[in-house]
Amino acid sequence: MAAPDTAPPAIETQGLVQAFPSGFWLRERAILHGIDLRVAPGEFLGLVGPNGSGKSTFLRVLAAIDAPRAGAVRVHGYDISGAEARRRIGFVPEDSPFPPELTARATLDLCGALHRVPKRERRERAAKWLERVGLAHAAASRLSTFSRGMLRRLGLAAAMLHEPDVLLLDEPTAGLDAQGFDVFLGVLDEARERGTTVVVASHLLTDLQQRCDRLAVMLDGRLAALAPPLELIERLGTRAEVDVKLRGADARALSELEHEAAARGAIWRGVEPSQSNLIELYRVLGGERRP
Amino acid sequence: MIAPLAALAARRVAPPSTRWIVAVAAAALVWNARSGAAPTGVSARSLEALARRETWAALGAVVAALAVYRTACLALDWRRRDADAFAGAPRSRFEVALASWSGAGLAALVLALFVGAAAELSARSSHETEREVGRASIASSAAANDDLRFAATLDAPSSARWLELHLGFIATDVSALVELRAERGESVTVHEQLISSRSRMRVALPAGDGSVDVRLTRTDGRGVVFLASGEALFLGAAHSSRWASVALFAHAALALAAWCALALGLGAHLPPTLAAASALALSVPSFLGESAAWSRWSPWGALPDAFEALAIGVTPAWPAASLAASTAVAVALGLALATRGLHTWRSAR
Repeated sequence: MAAPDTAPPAIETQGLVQAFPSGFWLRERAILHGIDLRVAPGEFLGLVGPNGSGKSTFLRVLAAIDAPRAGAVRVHGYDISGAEARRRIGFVPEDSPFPPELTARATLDLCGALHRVPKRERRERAAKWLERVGLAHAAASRLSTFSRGMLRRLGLAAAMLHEPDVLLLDEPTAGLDAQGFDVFLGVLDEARERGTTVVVASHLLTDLQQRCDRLAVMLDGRLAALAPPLELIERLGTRAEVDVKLRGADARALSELEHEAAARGAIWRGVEPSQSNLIELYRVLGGERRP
Repeated sequence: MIAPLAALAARRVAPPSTRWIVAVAAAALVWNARSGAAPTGVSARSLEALARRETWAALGAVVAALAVYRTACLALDWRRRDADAFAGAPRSRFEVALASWSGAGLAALVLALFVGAAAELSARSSHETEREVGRASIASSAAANDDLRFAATLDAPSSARWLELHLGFIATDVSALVELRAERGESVTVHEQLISSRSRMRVALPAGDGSVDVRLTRTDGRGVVFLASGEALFLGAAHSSRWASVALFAHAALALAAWCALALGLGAHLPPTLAAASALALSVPSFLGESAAWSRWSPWGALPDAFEALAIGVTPAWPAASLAASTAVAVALGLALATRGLHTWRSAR
């Protein structure tokens, strides 16, 4: 999926430092300590780390919301402070930043206008994305009446509206129900097919992990590791824990699998129904209700 | 222009709560004006003028304070509430400031229109009246002595039909008899009037164009008569007294545009209350008696004169070009401050 080496990286940071005033004397407290990172066009990068490790701060700098204290950030070769870089970025922040007094349609109109999407196209794209994220029925509703999950979907639609080359997502699955999660994965897959570079920050990647080309592990504002997921798991050796997804396996097949795993020295941690069961259940029940 | 952002700013400057406050205040003022019994000896025309002025003054003050305060809150709103959605957009800070000011100004103008409508409802009737077509300074050209012998040559606008002076009288007698004479070539007009503590004296201008010689003489009574205002007022005919609200709206529009821009600019650096109070405080000198020359040039400099004209049933003059120019300067200053203040979208943690 990655483009040839001759193309500039989709994201490039050099010696990125971010600090904020803190305490009574407002002394600067560093959050990011000189981060160097190159993300290839079309790459799917997972950014993991515990709470307070600097993931959100890093994404805010990449999204041009905060200016870094030191270092450089370039998007497709353009400096992040310029409009050329900014128009290529779509950002889904952790909390909904949208004005609660606006409707969903007006919010997308505003986001489109801010990203210089022509007026007529704004309407068409807004309708398309509201439909895509399952909010067409709430297009005329004020955001103050939206649930957290609905706001997350709207955030995704707003970020995709101007067809960005780089999509940055901060804890995108928080507050999403099973259906919302399904929609979210679908949008991400479409974005990847179009060649969009995706950076997802989360303290728990779970279902997203399998989509990541590389995982960046952040600890205390530093990049502690950057490698493909399997390579990182290999570093854990026998301490690694993996989820296996199965469809169509009955109880007997699962029992046989458990024995096989034990025979190979692995510890069987149990069987949990997948989240996709819920999505399937919603679909079945929804289909039964409709005539 | 980012139209949806301007619409959001307008919505925030005139939210439903503000519209409700203004509507209730307007209803109370209109009800008060229309239900009160007319005092004996006061003409219907005077009552109409006073009702119009009171509604404009009271409701206008409420609207100006609310609109300017809400505008001062905009920068804080962008920072605290919207930065994550908007700050990364490929738009310059000036574009954001311009859209914010446009929306805020538009909302303030709609509220001012509402005030004008309420003022006309309070005034009830309309009739033919006079409109201010010009002013001439008389303090520098001549002064009245103890015997009140005052003479000056004033340039009258071609549309002027009357000349009005504002006189004061410190009484020894109950009143004084004063003669105001206007001469233009061979034509002469004279008006004689008994004046008490504060009086306005009006004389029809002689036929013709160009400058007019004015002479004021006390012909009877004892006491000191003086020119209470350093300006003579030239008046022309106006078809309807409703135009008074239209002219005042034009003055209010300039003042609100400037106040909103300054409040937006200061609000990007100061707490909203302080920013709004500072923007409004700049206009205080204009409302305090004989104001300094600089305050007359300010965007709100002609508002006191406009209110004064409104009170005597005269349609105020249209804003001069110099007021539009000073408004443009104030708006540019406010936008520059706002652009600078939005440099850090997010407040420091």
